[in-house]
Amino acid sequence: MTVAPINETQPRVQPAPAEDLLQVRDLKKYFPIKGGLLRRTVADVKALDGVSFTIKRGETLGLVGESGCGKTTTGRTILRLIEATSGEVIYNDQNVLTASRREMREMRRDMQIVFQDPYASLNPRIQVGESIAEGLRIHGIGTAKERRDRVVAVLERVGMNASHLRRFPHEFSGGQRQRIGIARALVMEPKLIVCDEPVSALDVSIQAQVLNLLKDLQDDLGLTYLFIAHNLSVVEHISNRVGVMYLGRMVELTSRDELFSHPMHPYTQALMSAIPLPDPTVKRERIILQGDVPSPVNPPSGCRFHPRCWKAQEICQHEDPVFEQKKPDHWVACHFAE
Amino acid sequence: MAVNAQEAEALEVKEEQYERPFVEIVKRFMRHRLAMGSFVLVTLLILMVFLGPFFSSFTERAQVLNHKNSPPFTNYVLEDPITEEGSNDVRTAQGTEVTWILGTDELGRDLLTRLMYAGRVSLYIAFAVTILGELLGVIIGVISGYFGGFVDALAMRTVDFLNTLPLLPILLVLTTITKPSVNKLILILVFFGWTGGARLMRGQILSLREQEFVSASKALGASNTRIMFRHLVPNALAPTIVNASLGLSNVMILEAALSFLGFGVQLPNASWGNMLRDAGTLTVLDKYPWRAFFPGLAIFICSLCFNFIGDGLRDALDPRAKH
Repeated sequence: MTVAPINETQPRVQPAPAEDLLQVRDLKKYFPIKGGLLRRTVADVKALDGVSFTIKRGETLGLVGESGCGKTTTGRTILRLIEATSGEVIYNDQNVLTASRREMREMRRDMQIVFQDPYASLNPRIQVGESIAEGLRIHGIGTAKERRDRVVAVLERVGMNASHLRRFPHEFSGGQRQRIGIARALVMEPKLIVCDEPVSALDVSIQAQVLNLLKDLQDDLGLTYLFIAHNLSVVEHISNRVGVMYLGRMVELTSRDELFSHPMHPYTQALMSAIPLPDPTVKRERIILQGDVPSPVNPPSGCRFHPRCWKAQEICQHEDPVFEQKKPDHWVACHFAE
Repeated sequence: MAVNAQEAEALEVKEEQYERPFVEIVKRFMRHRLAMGSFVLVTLLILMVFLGPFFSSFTERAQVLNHKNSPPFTNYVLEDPITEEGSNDVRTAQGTEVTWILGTDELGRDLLTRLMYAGRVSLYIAFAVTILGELLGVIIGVISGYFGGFVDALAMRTVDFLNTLPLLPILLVLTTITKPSVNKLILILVFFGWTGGARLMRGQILSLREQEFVSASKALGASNTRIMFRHLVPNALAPTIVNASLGLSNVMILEAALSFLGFGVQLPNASWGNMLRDAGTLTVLDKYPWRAFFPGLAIFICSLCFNFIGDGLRDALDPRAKH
């Protein structure tokens, strides 16, 4: 395997160590904007602009950031539900993005996804038993009887039972549907599950149940999660490491404890100060960001965060900060990280 | 496994038992009186048209030349036996007293029997054109909407092109080049008739394909064919069914119009359209109005009923119109 040339924006360009299950290198996704009479591409929405990270076997990597920062696009690009513009996604020494149709089919058994909206993620005209069995059927796994047994086993694993098999999605509550969605991913016995905001559409009381279920499953089955969320407390609860995204870039990546105790990027610090505290007597300095997220069509020059940053200096306007290791295992992209 | 009370409650399937979707649709359709009445009427009509001729004393072409243009309810004692078509087997013996319930036409043929044979042809054309046309439309529509891009552009420009062609002059040309037949007529009408269904389907697919259950299937490794026909089409079929039932009456009227103009079903085969044409002179309308009235009535009833059934289906299939 050849070693790719070191690029400034890439934290790590080398063969994946054995403990790494998934490596994402300089992932880019541009959505073209077509215009004019000839439908030519007039601009790109830079949804992902050079995102790199690794996920270790058995860990949960949380991904946070505000709406439109590219979290969901990251998850879907890794699974090739959206085709990436460039970059590499290495799963078990195999590049997912260039895999052939056949190789991809095999890899899909290992990588599954749980969606945000439990109402849209199940086909309303198909009984849930059949929805869950679909993956087995597609891959020709087992006889009808064996498939049924596996579906029942997995349904029981997520806290439901065989009597639910022949029901339709509209007969279940949001939390139950989310369990069905998890069962559908689980039945393939995957190694990696991309959880795309799996609890943001649920009531708070149900959120905890689903999060605990995901944790239990991870402990029992040795699953690896890429957990996408915008709720910091949820991410803190479930993640081992956390990546913070802003406008199509990763701005900070470190262990959960380090991130929540010593956030180094100004954007992360602002996010942290927005977490509500349960104690009303504690006074805290709230960092209020000015303005809105800029358009990903035409991102700001230099550091993408500089128009909203209170630490911004002249250098931030024209020099893009390198995403680098400022402390052991603590990656930040900021000129003034502290 | 210890489950706390709240969790147990959350897992309990909702008490209220839902009907299976199909049962619910049938129930809602049956509540729509006009549609249900129309459905019964059409069913009776179809039964009559297909079974009636077996019980008739007459055949499609048997002529009683000395009783042309008899009015309805004329009684007559047969001077010659009526034989089966294409053989010499006697159908109705000499000396039997028969009644022309709807009268006879200009060749002394029984109008009722002819109306039933004509109905077979007219209904066959209507159903064949609608079913084949919608099928083609669904397939082209789903492919066009799902893949998008060049395929979509090609399909939709073809639709636009076909819609700009004037149907009647083209049929006129076609009938002069080739000998018209029922099946050719069906093919031609399908060729021009799939476009509406394709557009309808494509529109549905465009919104459905963005749903997460489609992504979920893709993540499981489902093929495009599977996603299109297992996941997308069943969810997009409701408007197509309504469109088809309304389309039935359009095809029926179109067939009548074409036969009336002489491009459709050719004599001696009867269709409701060409029976109307035979009656379409001032003399006939003035002196023997029943010859135009009954075929016209049949077309009228059928197209009206298909429209009502379409309305009823639209209401029954619309999930927002519950109760």
